[in-house]
Amino acid sequence: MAIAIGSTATASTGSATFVTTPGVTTQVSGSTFWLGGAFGTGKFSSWSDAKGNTYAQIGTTQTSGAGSDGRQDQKINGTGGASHTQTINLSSATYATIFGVEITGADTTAPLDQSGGNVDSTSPYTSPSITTTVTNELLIGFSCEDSSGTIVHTFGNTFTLQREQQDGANFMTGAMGTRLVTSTLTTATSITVTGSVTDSIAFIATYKEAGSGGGPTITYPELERNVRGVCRGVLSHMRH
Amino acid sequence: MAANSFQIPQTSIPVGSFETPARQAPVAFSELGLQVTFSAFPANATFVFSQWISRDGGATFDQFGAAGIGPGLFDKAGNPTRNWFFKASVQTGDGTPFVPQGALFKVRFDNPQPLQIASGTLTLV
Repeated sequence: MAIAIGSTATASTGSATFVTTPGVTTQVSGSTFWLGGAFGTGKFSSWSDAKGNTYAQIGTTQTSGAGSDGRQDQKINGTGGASHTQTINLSSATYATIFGVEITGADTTAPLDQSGGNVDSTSPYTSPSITTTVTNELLIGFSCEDSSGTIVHTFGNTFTLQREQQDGANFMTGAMGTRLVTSTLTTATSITVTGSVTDSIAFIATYKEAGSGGGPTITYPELERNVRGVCRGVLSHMRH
Repeated sequence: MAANSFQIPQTSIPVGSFETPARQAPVAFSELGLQVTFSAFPANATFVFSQWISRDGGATFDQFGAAGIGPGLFDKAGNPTRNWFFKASVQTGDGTPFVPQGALFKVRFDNPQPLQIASGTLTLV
């Protein structure tokens, strides 16, 4: 099965101790779930999930100069089903904006290829540059901003905007986009905004298609030569 | 007011769970936004707000986002406030609105203290 995005969701609050995404129907098994979130600095407590999935952080938390934290997390080969929600739990009431993506058709053991995150104060807000290592991958780009007023996001580098929060008056603004690639490349999340932004935290994560493995590619002639070599070795061993 | 917006009138929310009657969605939507102004919000008050939808109009409702507060209610800058904002959105792969027109939706408060809503707006997009 080709790698693809399943459902996507986002939720924001101006002040809460937890925020939960809408319930969607996800694959019962085999999907990888990616989560990105930004919130008042130092307030992260945990992620929880209606299907009991536990999430592992990708990379490190990034803290903007304006005092917000951003992070991305994943559950590889998670459990899904109907009414699947994901929740960010915060140590005390604060603002939060979160994004969720279901990735179908990804490698079920080690799908994460490349990742990175950093703070950027100048538009276009750009993540660290990464270079993918296998041909078929799904790239997820994500940014959250300390902002005011209405913020409109435009992705560069051929990413497609999936979900965004534009209301900087009441929430932490942000956007999440994706890109499917069929050859290796070097790229980054790049988001241009209109509106008043003080600081941005930009992330990228790339996921490998099932079967891509990430190991060296072997051609059929090479495979045939290798098998012949093994057979010769076994026969030689038996003769002695 | 636009067809996709609902004014929330002054409402007393008793202790416990308070659920609005189910209403039919006048438009298909993927995003739900709520703004509430409380008459007062004591520093130690808490509540959980959740939305529920029945996409097929039947008796089974699924959660459409939720948020919990407390203690204290603050604006984005961290100042005590009586105004509270929540928004959630979702999209499935085919790009059609997640909740079809005519679906049922309702909202629920769970709060251990009585609260008074001064006004509010619920928006479906």
